[in-house]
Amino acid sequence: MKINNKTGMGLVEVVIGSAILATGFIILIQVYGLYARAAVANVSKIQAAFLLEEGQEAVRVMRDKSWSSNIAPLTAGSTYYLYWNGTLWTSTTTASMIDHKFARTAILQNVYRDASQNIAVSGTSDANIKKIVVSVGWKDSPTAATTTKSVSTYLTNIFSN
Amino acid sequence: MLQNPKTKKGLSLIEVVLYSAILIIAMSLLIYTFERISVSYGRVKSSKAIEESATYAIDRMAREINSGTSIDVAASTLGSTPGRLFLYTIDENNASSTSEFYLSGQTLHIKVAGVDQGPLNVSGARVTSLIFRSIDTTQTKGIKIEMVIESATGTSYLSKNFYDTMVLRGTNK
Repeated sequence: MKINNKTGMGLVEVVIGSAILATGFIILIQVYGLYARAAVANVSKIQAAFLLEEGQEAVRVMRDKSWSSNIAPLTAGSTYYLYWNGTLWTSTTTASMIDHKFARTAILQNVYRDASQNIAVSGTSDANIKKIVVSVGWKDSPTAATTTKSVSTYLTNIFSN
Repeated sequence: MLQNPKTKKGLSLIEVVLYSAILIIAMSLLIYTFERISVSYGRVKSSKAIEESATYAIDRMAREINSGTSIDVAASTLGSTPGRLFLYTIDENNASSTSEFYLSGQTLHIKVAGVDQGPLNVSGARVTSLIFRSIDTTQTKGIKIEMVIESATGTSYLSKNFYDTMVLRGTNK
């Protein structure tokens, strides 16, 4: 009768064991990498959120200064960029980047009212109200896809100016 | 006496060399992984400190400016860093109050009705630049905020710019 008194592990067992461990580690690193990238990219989202809020307020500043000069002449549906001239916010068609990363645009849309004076998809255009859509787009790395976030609000000619 | 091959114990030289090589590779991988994780943990920690500080500080400033009725220009430092903003506000009980934002070293503080409410940025983050710019549209007043927050953890360093603008709703005429 053959007695197998061999102890320890064979080379194949060690190689397979190491491979399983290595695969486990690689998966763990990948998962951590995803988490780390998402966590770092979140700062850009917060920066963009404040830029969106600022965009809306910038158009509000333009409205407060003069509806007839700053809001009424803008073409509905056209893309405008918001420009800080040192004392006030203004609109421009010249593209610009914020910190070489964020592109912020503002689009004004006409607002229509139905026979009951409610805001509707179509009807009579109300010259004293505009829908403002502010968008911020950015890339977290040169090869990454562009992320775009938008907010919209209605602005009225409350000062009749 | 002849040695019985069936009862041979221990490892051959080739096995020892192979096992050692596998062990060395595994250990190198492990050390490299820990080093990378430690670096990226520093980045995550720094970005978290910046995020928390920016969200809390700018939200608070925007809310106070929003409820402002006027800006005390003489008590404020506008257009340069370190900026200081002194606002007359309306509180939640519709009573008149004041809010003041200022830097103490590299920590942003808020005073409400003259009483310091503590820091607005977390301890792991520093405000390295804070500029308030005044906006006057005749009809309303506004404030443009430009803030730079930095954080360093281990070898990682992050610095981020934040911008916001808010109209003082209480200045509507």
